[in-house]
Amino acid sequence: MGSFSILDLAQATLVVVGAALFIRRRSLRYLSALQQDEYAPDRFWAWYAKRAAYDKRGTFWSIIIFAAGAAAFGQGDVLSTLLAIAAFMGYLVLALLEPDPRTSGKIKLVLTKRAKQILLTHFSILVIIFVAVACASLYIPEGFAVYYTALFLIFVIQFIPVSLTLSVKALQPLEEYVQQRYFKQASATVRQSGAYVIGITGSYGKTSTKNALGEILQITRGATFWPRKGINTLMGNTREIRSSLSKHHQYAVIEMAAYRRGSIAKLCELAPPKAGIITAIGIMHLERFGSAEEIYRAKTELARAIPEDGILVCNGDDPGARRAAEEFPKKTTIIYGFDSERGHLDCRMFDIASTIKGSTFKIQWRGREFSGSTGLLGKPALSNLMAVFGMACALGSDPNYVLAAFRNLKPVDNRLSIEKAGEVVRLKDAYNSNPSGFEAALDILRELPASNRLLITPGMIELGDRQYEENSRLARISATICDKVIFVGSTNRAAFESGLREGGFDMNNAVFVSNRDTGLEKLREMESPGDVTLIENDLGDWYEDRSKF
Amino acid sequence: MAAGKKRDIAVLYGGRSVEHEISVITALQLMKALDPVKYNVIPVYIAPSGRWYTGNSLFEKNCYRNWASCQHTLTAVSLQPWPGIGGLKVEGGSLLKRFSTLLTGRFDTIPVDVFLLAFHGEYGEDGCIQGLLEMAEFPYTSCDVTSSAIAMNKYLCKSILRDHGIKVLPSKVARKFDAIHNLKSVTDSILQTPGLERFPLFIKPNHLGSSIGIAKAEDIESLHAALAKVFLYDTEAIVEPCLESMFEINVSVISSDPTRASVVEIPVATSGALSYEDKYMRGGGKKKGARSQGMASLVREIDPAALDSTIKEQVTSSALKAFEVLGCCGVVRFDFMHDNTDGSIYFNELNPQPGSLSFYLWVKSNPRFLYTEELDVLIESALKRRSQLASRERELGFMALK
Amino acid sequence: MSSTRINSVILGECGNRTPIILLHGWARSLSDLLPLGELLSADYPVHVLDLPGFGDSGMPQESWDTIQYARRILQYLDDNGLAKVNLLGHSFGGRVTLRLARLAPERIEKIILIGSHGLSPKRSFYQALRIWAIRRGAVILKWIDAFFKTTLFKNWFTPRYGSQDYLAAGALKGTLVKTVTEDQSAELPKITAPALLIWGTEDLAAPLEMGRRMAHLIPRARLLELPHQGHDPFLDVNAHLCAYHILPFLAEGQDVKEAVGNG
Repeated sequence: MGSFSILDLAQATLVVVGAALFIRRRSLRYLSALQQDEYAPDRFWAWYAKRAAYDKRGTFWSIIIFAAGAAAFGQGDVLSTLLAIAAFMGYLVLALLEPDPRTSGKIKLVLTKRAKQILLTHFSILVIIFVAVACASLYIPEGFAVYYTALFLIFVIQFIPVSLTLSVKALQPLEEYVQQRYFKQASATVRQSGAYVIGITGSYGKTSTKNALGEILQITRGATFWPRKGINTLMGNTREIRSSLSKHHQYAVIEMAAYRRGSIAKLCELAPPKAGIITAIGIMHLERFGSAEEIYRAKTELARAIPEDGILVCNGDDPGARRAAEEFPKKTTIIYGFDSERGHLDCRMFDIASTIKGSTFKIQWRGREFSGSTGLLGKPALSNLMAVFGMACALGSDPNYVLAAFRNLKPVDNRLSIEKAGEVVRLKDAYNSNPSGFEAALDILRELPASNRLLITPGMIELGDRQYEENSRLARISATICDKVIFVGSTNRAAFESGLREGGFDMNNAVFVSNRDTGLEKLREMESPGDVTLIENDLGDWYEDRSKF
Repeated sequence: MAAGKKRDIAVLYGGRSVEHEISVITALQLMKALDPVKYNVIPVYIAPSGRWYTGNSLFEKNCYRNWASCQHTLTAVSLQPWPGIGGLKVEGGSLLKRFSTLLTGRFDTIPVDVFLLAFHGEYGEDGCIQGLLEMAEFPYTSCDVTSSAIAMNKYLCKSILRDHGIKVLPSKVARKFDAIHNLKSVTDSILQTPGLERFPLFIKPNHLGSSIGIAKAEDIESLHAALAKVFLYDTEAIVEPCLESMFEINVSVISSDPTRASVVEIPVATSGALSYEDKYMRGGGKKKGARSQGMASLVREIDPAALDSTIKEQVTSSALKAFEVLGCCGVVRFDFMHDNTDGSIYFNELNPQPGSLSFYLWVKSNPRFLYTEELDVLIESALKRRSQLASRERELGFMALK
Repeated sequence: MSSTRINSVILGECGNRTPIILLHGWARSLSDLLPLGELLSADYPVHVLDLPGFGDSGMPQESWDTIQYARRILQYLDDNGLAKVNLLGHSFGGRVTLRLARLAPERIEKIILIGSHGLSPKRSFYQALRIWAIRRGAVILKWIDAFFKTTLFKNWFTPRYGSQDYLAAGALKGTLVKTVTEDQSAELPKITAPALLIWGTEDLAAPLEMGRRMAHLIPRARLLELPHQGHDPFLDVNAHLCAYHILPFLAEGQDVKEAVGNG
């Protein structure tokens, strides 16, 4: 047994209690990040690495206490007691400085059953470690000294995220059992409801197509179920189906995302589709799948699952989608698109005009020509509209009725939406995150009548090794359309700047700012009546999360 | 001085309607105006899921926007559809409580004396909740089942009032499932209705109150689009002619003793008639910061001096008559339209639970009601009505069943 | 002092009823109390004032304390020929109301205090600890700034922990410092006018416990507690609730010393 006094033990306890308050708060923060990443340890650790979210504050304070404690060791009880009190106060202050993720932050922590279970497991792990170390300290000389305790705490504090992920992993079998039960319940619900399931898949446009199709079917066919927002995973759809799908729904529109091979197949097992829409088969996230062929296989799991007498609607402008239509023929196959050069089109949109109120267009369908208008803007949105039109008509809706419903559609704010701010027109596309969306927005910018055309953007991110090239390309296109450019941030600056120069842009009209707020200020200065400004990919979240660890 | 016990007033609001948000705004506002000396205010919120909750967090606006986290701090409750319970049943609760309920068969209740309703739209304003409250024999402050149901069906309401000498515009009801079947025949039959042969036409949902889904149609295509818009929210659309030059004029009526009408108001809109955006999302004259005041902040002229007094009288007397004919209770708001071309005044809609309970009209009326006073009147009249209803003989025993 | 201009709005007919003077809180103006004033003006003449240094009133030449404010209001009464008035004060206006009730009791019929200051708040241990820590922290930071030539105090500390009122006070900093710590507890028991105290139970600036102490100290006081309301329980629809209680209070002939509401 090492020599220790009750006083030492009391001091060590005081320090540990203070640290525990801090650890508790910090654990909640990491848990919040974990919850946002859907409890996927690999995504959590990716976030951790990217944000450098390892603890600095608690560790820093612990090091100070350690150093002070080591220096004060053996200098008397009064000094060490004072140090213990100071340590406690310091940890208390740190704990109070930690934002409570349950009440602050953009996405708040919700203490669901699962979250509580994880927390409980996590704290249990920490308590076991504490108890074990406390017992071991009985045998170590100076085991309860303040400096020794502080040293131990450094390890514990850094261990928090590890403990949390271990808890997630430990509870995984329980979670899987629960999910399995939910899956069975949900697929039984789908079967019993007798709803006609329509799946939607594709590299982009899934959510907007689902929402539009859901609304149109609700108006022109009958009660339709569709999960709101971008829910496209197995878990998300399971939850929505269990809570909201009823026997009275005639149709169910389900968005299916190909996170990996088999994810769509699993969704088709949950809700066997009788019809489907493929908007595009792009080559994004190559790292996840391995090869373009693998991507194709994964995304065509929907086409595979649709029965022979079902309906398949594919985007003829996308080679992958067109290939899928040819490889998986159904009784009713509909190919839609703008470009008839690529092959036969069952549904073709042409004569498109964009105005501040939206778009007008003509559709050729089954030998007839229809005129229509809508509040939506841009070719990507109109392409999705063709998919909805094709599917609704194939299901028996009156094309005139479908077009009537299209007239009421408006873009979601900041997905190529238009806003008039006094004498200036703003084209808001802040939520767009892909190059073809950016191009479509530039097209609209070009088409709208304007005395000057302005662009404010930080460029595109998450494009892997194509990022430089794409930003440069988009800059070149912008150069031919825009009169003034405000570029935000440093990530894509080089690419964009070179692209502008190559495009022949007068660099005197280009302004480079470091952050969004400055950019918006500059915009207000540079705008004059009659101007049209495109606000592109201005993801506020990018800049706002400055919380410290 | 605590003379007598405080009454337990359950403010019931929310509900599964598209106008859920408006109901929350009205309720939060009125809970601030209820006299804490006379009443113990219990918020009872019907969440979008349809479940009922109560709890102190409901007094804060943020609770509704961060529902997922707020929900855990509340108590789930329900109303049993039979008399004698004296309040709301507490659902769930701790394990111990549930076990004790299992053993004894008795559950926790939250005592309620009067239900103060602040709903807008389906289920809350159309007679459904009123039916539940009647079965549980609780006093409540809104119109009863019949008058609520009639008020919420614009076409039926107009037909009844027309029969009693109140002018209404011609109208036709179009049904959603007829349109799905054959859109063209639906539009044809609309355009063949006397009074609706020419554009522009006005299309509204037949069952809602708050101007969601209203649209003006200038031609066949916009008529189709207007129908499509309405049929997203309702199974019936009501089509009326569009008065080119008109203004809206509203008046509130309250079941005090005697029945009284308030001063009139003329809501001012940016376009021909008020849309949801106009009514609830425009800034008003006197609010501070970004406080949601609902109907109270709409730009309006209350008791305009320049308005011809014969118009005011006509509107007021029509409203009082309609109130009586339909058997309304509580406080309601009648919306009329004045056709500027020939001075005719047409009844447009009846709101059985008007936004902000029209307090902004009563505070300018003579004699005036402060909002707090108006709520006192509603609660008293609810209690009076319930005791009148209790004077009915109920049981006949079994005579035919031998 | 007499030259400091007072801006006011007068509502209601000048009948033979005792007028009500409304005094707003720190860093506010008469527009705060206008809605309440309008409701009260149906039965009484109402004067809604901008206190000197706020709104459209003039700025005092020197830093005043509440007694000087009270004297200025008294002069306003004289200038407008108001022999006897009812006073209503919110927050800082409440301090002034209390002073005036002691200064010229023969001019005051009844007083109404809404979330009024006037006593030293009783702080919980945690709150006192926090304040102590902030004060020590400020001293330490100033020392660090001086030594390392940083601007931590100004840029990081003050926006987070500095008193917002003090920062915004501008020319009135002197007045704020003079008045913010005053405690009138010795004066309150000598007030002869009947008093109605209206307090939000969630008032953070003037805690409910202060309202309860005031109601206890003032002899003819009655406290109305408004649940779920904060420091401004007279805004929007709450003005109706306040008027609902204020009007009968002003009308009644008797006085009763009790607490009503959740007391």
